[in-house]
Amino acid sequence: MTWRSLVDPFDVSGRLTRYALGTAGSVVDRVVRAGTTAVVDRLDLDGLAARIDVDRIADRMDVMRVVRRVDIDLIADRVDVDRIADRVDVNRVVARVDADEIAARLDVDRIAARIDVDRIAARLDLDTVIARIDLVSLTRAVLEEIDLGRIVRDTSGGMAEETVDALRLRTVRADRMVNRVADRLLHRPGVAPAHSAGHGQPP
Amino acid sequence: MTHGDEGSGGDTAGVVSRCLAALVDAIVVAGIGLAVQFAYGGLRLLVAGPPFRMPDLSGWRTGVLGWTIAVLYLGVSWASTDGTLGDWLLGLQVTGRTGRLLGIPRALLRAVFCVALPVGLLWIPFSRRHASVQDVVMASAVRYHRF
Repeated sequence: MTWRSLVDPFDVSGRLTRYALGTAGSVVDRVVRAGTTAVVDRLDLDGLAARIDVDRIADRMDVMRVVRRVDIDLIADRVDVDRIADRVDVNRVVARVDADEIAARLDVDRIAARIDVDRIAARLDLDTVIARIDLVSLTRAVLEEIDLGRIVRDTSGGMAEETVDALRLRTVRADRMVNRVADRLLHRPGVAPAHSAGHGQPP
Repeated sequence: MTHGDEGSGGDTAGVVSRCLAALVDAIVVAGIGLAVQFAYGGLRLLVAGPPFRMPDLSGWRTGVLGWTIAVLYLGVSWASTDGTLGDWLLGLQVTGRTGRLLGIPRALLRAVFCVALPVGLLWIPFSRRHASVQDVVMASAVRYHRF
């Protein structure tokens, strides 16, 4: 800067003008900030929000137009399904499932009616199933469980006892019949049989 | 005394029961005789070696053997358990008239009479106390027992 520039009226006026503009700019900034702060402080945002009619805004929105403009394929391509699956906590989901309620709402009879049992049976390979069963061990376990030997012993013993009793009763009747015939032939009066204590009464 | 009331015990058994019991006892005696012959054959097989052969007994020896087995079987059964297998099957009891078990001599003698004179059973319907000839001679009685 030379002395000439210090005294040159154009230079001086230019410098004064720039100084004035800079000062004016900072003053305007301060004024705007102070005014904005005052306006924000005085604004009742809750009241303003309460006066907004969201339903009316929603009515005026053309949702279908928005939907039509959405490129579903593009969104689907950008979705990382594996990452979503990794973030899903399956145990937590399962824990929230009320299995009893689901079971109560199931119509089992209707499901059973729709099952084609014949078709299932036709697809079963029974030979393979039977081949995998240890029938000998199974049979032995069943016989031990129901104690078939005891049943056979009891049944056969009871049958033999009943047979012997029936034979004895029949022979006693035959004896009595022969005795009656003999009494009649010999003109002998029939005498009622005597019984003593400790012995049964034959028929 | 009425017929069928002899000492202690039940009614005196009739002819049908006693004949059936005798039939069963005859089968048992035949089985015992066969078993004795098998045992003899087996013993001879062990001592003299093969072949196994049943003893070839003459007629009178077979008769004596059968008679002996029958007497022993009947006598021992009556003296020890008051009845043979046939008696048990038909529910009969062989005792003295007082209801006591027969002694061995009396039981064996009764068995001899029974084997020698089986038709003595046919006297039962004509007896007032339903006694066979053997019962009359040996003062024994056969009663219904197991009912």
